[in-house]
Amino acid sequence: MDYLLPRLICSFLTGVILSQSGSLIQMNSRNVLASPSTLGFDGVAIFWILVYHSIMVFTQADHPAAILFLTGVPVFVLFGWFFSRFMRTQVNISRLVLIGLTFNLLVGAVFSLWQFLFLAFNLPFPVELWFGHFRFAELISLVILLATELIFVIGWFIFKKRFYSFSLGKSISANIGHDYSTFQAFIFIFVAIGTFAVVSLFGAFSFLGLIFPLVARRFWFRKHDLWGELFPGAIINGIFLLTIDALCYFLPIYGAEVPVGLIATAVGAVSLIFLLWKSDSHLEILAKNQK
Amino acid sequence: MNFKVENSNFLPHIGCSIAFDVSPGEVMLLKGENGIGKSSLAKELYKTNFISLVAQESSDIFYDRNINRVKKLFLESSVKVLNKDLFDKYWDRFNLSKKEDRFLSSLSGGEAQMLKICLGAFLERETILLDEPSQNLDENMKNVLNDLISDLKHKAVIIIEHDSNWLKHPAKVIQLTVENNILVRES
Repeated sequence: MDYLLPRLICSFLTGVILSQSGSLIQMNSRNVLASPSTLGFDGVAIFWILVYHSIMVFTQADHPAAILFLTGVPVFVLFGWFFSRFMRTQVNISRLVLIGLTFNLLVGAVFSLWQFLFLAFNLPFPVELWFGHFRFAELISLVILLATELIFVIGWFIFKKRFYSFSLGKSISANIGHDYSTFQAFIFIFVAIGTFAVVSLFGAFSFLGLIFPLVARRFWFRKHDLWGELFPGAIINGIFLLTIDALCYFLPIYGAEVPVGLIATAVGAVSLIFLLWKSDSHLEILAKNQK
Repeated sequence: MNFKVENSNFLPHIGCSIAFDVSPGEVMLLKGENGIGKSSLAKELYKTNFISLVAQESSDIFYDRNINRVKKLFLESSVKVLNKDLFDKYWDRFNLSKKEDRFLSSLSGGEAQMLKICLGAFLERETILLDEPSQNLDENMKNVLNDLISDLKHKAVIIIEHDSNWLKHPAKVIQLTVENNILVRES
């Protein structure tokens, strides 16, 4: 139980953070296809971890997850900041999503090649990185996730008005005269750190950041749209991921645990195909509520 | 107010060299054929100057809210910069007060246009920029729009429009044209 409780809380917080990251990116880009995984944030995080892992293997240094996370933080703060600057230019989001997905494929190829070389030379390789799971969750992972979530909660209180006016649309919000550069930088830095925290601690959960916000937006808290999506909606998604993780834990198949990331990616990919199929004419769909 | 645009990222395929003056209380009408870059010019003016824009494109509101909620959020975030009396007056005159239960996705083009005008035209900016404000509006609502422009009497108003027959307010007209691949004032 000492091990199970932090693990379940970790899966819950991961669900919350992925849901919020996806919501923020979709709000910012006003496109439901944008998410940390489809914009390539996952790919960048995996690539960074591969490089870090290789350096550690060749220098024969010890590398606990917390150190990996801490060394990556400055890099991902910078990455988030640059991305926010980039998003302020005239970007075609659908094209960016295609580039992000292709970049993920490239990282997948590099990942396989790297894995092949490492195994050929009998070196350790983080195979489980590609499909995330919570088997190695420990107290320090919990602390890192809580700290990441805290960044978001504090940001929500600081930028609350901007969150709302920004959700009214870029031209309306800019008319009102708020300066959005800090706000947007905050959004992308949070997303970059959140994604990196999750990937470095547990591995990738592709497409969850895409599907979770859509799920959260379709719940019943219509009157609290943005707040509802970012808080109760994210919490429900967290509970959802926790449930799947608990099922994986309690129902091993032939003694082996199915990685949660595998299930998430499969469900996410099918949903994305469905979504793309349904929305062939309008990629920039208005986030519709149930009537 | 002095406006000058020399080349713009919004107009990547052609150059641009336009300068003009508008003083408070004056209405400036920028005319030109379809597709020569009027709206891009509007975006450039908007980006580089402290003005309020009613954009031509459909609203970029992402969340499908009802009008009442949009109004509330807008009032909360713009409390320091809004001329509330004018806002209320035209909210009623554009019949938006009767439609507060309606969702954004259910609005017709004209209704969405009236909403956009209300959310953009009454902010305390020296210059208000209206990009094709009359589109999708019926005759009645065009009359209301004329009254609105008269009510913005202490502001400089720039209107971008290719067909300006509806406009009753006296306006300085600048005809835009493309010469040698550069967007300029017609001489």
